[in-house]
Amino acid sequence: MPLRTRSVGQCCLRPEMLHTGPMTAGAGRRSQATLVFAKGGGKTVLTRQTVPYPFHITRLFQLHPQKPDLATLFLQSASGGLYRADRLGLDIEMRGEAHAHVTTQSATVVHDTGASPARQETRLDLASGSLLALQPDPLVLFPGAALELDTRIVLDRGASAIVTESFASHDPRGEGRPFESISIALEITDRSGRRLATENAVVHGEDFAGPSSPLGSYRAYGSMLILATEAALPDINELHDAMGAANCLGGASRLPNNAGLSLRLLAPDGGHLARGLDAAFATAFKALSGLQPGRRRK
Amino acid sequence: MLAALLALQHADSAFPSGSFAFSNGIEGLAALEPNFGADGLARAVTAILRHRWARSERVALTLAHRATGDFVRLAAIDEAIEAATLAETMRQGSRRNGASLLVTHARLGTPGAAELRAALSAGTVFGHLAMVQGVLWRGLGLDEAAAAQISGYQTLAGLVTAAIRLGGVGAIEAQRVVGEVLPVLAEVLAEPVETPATPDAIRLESFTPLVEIAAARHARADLRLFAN
Repeated sequence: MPLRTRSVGQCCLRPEMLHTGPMTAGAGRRSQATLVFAKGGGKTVLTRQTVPYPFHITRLFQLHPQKPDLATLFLQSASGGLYRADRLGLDIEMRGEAHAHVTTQSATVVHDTGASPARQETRLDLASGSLLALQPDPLVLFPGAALELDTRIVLDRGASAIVTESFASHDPRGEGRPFESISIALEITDRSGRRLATENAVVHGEDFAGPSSPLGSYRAYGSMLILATEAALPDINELHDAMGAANCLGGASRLPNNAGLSLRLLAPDGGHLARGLDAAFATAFKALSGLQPGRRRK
Repeated sequence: MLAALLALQHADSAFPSGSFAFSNGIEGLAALEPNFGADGLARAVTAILRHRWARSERVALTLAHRATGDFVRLAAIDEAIEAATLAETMRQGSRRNGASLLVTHARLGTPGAAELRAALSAGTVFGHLAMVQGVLWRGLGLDEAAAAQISGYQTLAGLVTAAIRLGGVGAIEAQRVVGEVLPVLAEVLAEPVETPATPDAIRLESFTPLVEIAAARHARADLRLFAN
């Protein structure tokens, strides 16, 4: 069942990009947030915002005096995490020359979802000349949590973006109980719909923490897409050094079809993961924007 | 009987498939873990089979086998592999290994090899290994199950052989690892592969971040025995 009735003409996001293949069942929250950034009067402004509960946003901040056209927005959740059968969608459209850093104020806990996974859908539409840094804090998967992450990005040539996604498991009782599962779906296409890069995976908590874990002995995982033209991309060795300095193990590699870089990061726990991602983010952000990211107060 | 013997011929490490140049992450893992030995190898091979090969290469190979030489479908499978292989050295390795295998089969006159080689030369396909294997092994008359078995066994054997050549494990230990992991291979081989309704619905799943990180770091090492 479609969750929203917005007409296609309101945004560049195509209907087929939206809300595909839900596996959720049961009565969870349905919420769809939409943010449209554009450049006007030398600044990046929000020309459209739909932010229903549990989403909440701050006003736009200009944290970089030397680059007033770069807006920073804090995206918050008013509900304390993701719950059974939740289905939350976030659409961000970046119109030409808009520059925005969208981040969160804290990690998001995914609670025990029982038989009805939570689902988080992200749709990004990036016009040529725009810059989006989407840097949510890590997801913390509690025992029994099942989460579906579905991200689709339409990338114009000449658009730039940093998109992070990360998670760690945590048992508040300290008994090492695993989360249920996490499914990851990513598709980056150009404006014509040609697939530039994809990622699909389903990882069960028992495998995540098991003896043959695809993470080895690490227990927290992060990924970062750095999408830009070749000349704008950060140096891979600098990214590796930045993650190493934060006591994380990371590796960056060129994406197929010249889409940019893919970075993977492993850490022993969520705290190290957040620091490692921050370090890599600072390197990537500087390469794409020419600036060190402004200090975020949390 | 002949089909079984044919499968042995093409699974044999003596067959010039070109795979000897690739460790598919094992050299990088060994560099990350100073004590990388038989236990580490068994864990790595298990993770690669379960979390990459089972739902990525195996699926692509099976779909290529089912494509019955239809180059539109084969190109779509190949593009799906290209887009889904985010680690650059793995992507390049898959293409290079596919091209090497194709050269061998073209010289042997395997049915379908010449046409596929022409498509590769014309740039209409990337020539990823799993797609090439599916086409060639079908051309030889091997059925879908046998093709997946050969691919799985070669993946396992190739990783273990790389570890031996790197000095990480001895030949006897290596065979213990192979024996330990064969049940995992058998388990994933039993999983069904569904044919997607449309080529753009091909879904290849992979989640091996440690191996990908190891391969990415290995790509920047000064001294390397393997290409990836």
